[in-house]
Amino acid sequence: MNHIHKRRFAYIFLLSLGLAMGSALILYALKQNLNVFLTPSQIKTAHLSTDDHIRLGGLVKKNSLVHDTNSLTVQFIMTDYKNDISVRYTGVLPDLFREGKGAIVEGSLNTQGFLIADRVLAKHDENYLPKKVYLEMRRNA
Amino acid sequence: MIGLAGKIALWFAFAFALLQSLPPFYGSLRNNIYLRALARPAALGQCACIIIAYLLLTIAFVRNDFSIAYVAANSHPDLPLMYRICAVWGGHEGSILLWILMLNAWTLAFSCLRTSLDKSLTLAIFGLINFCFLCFLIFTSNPFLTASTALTPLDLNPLLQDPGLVIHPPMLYAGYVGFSAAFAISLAALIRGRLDAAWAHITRQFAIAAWCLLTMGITLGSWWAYRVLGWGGFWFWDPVENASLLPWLSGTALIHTLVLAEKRQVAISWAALLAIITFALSLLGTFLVRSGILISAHTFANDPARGVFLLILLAILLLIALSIYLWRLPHATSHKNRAAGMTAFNLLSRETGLLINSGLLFIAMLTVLLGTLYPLIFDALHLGAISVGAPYFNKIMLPLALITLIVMALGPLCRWQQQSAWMLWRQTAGKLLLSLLISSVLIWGVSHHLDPLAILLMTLSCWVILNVTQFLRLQPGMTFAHLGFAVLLIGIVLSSTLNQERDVRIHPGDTVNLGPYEFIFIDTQGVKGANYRGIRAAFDVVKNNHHVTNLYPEKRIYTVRDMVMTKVAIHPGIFRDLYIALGQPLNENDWSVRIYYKPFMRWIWLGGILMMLGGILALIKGENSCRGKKN
Repeated sequence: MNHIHKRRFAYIFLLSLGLAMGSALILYALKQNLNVFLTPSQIKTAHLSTDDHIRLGGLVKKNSLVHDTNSLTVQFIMTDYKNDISVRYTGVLPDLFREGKGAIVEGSLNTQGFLIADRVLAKHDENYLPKKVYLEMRRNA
Repeated sequence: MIGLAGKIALWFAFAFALLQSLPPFYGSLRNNIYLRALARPAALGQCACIIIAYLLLTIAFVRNDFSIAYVAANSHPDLPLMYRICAVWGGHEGSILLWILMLNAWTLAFSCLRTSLDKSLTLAIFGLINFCFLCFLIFTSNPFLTASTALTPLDLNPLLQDPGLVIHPPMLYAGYVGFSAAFAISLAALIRGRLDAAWAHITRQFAIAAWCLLTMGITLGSWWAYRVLGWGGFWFWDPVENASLLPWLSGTALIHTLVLAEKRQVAISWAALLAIITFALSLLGTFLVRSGILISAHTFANDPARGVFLLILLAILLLIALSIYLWRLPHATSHKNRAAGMTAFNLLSRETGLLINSGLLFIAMLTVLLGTLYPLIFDALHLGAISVGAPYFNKIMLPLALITLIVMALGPLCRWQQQSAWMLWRQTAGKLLLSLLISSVLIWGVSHHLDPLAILLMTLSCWVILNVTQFLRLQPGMTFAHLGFAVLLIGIVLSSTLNQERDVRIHPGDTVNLGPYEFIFIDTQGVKGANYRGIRAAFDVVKNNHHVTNLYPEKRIYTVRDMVMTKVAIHPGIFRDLYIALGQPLNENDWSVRIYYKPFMRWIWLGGILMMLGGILALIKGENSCRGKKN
């Protein structure tokens, strides 16, 4: 084995080591950090446990937003015009969060079926609607 | 009128692009010097046409020519002049025109270069890329289309009305597109079978220039996100941000590998492959941003037809490039290596360090790519809609960053070919101990809590800084770039571990305590700007009974689009940022307010600037090249 072979061997060894390490880490991390994107109807049928971290896409139902009188907690209803889910969130809502507009809520369900959100996103586009909700609504219409 | 002239200019550019690509390409294969000679004048002609088209569009914006649909969709008579000029690239069509303008600028830079490389063939490849993008511009997103009916001006998206937008997109695009130069030069060299030191040198110069611009573009982008999006973060692992990080990671690997290719004739084929991949990633980034197929927090116009067009373009270019690579590689490298006397090296040597580094960067790129595209793969296989959360990226990047830091600390100290481990240990062990001491004391001092991970990252960053400063005179470029990376990591570690934030409900007169600071909400006032009206809150910031500053966060309503925007107020400092974002009015007096105390935030951008500075120095000094005076 001359030095070129040795070097190639080292290359291949390092490369495969890196790849193996990388893929192991990736699969581990990916498995833990997937947010499943669901619509209110899917949540109703999915039998989720309180441990599942979910991402809910839908529309904020008109006249459903209620501010708590002395804290930052808000409660509103997310809808896809077939099913509704009540959401509770404590914090500052994004600028583009409006009743009747699309939003994405991340969090987990509690035992009463409320979604306790840790993050609320409103698309930075006033005409935005989550793709699935849009398709769903077109099918219903 | 302007619309027609613009269309004509684009069609002329289209014709020039054809002239620039096909005849010289054919001429190169047939050795016809007359056809080959066409490349340069055609490139100049195309450049002139694109500049004219771009200026025409700018004039249309300045003169409020709302007969052009694109101008009407992105401007308004009330918009300040500076933003009207920037609005040229505020939408999809204009930004593609900017892309093409940048590509032409790089073509021009290359055509002015004095080099032994095959210029006309390289220009022909430039022409081909230009041709593809002109097709895309003219057929799917022509900015000069006249409005069929009288359109009401829609104003520029308020999120984009920020000084950050003035320089961020051109920088980012210049960087993105700059890797086309590395791509074109490498492809021409592959076809000619000359992957030699001259190729590596020129490619590296262009890659460094592009890398500097991309680094600056990303830094400005994160600064913009920090100030405008109002979430207090600087990086969200959003698909659109990842799209710019991918070519950066791969481009960094390319720059490092090209040092090896030029000085040691090692890893030539790897460097050529990286040049191709980096440009492919730039194209992929454009595709991801422009097609809107990924759920992103940023605003971009979506149109599936455009996405498909770009995807086909990407596939064709990548396919051609990779087949040329596979077909020509044996011709391009084999006899050259023997002739140049490629040198062997031990496992512990600077060569190995550079190789590991490029491998790590490449793996980092792949993981970000996977995380970014995973939702698409899932969707394509009908497994449901998912998104990959930021913790994935953080978790993956952490070990990679740790190993990269170790390699960065030791690699530059190693000699070429072989290095004694004992010498390396003697040179660095003391510094490692010193940096451990510094970081422990620092972290204990500021947080009274020893977070092992933060200390580990800080120690390694300090180690890199201590080890690398000795090269300040010999290799200032490398030194600054590595310093910048270490400073960036220190900034990220400290700002994320020491960050304090509070969402509060307060009314005028209330006080909020955060860190060592007191924030006193004084009152709110109405304000009116050129194209918005809003409410301005006044805060008094006090530390230990000493007045620090007044902060005035605003809530604005941009009247034309009826869009609400938060204008955050930031008091920057080297060691900490104070950041207030106004939420919603809750009743007549109460407001929801988000307040941040962010230590070492500025270090993140300082790191980015240092890295760019390093790139510029390396470019000027001709560092790490056979032709450079030093090293």
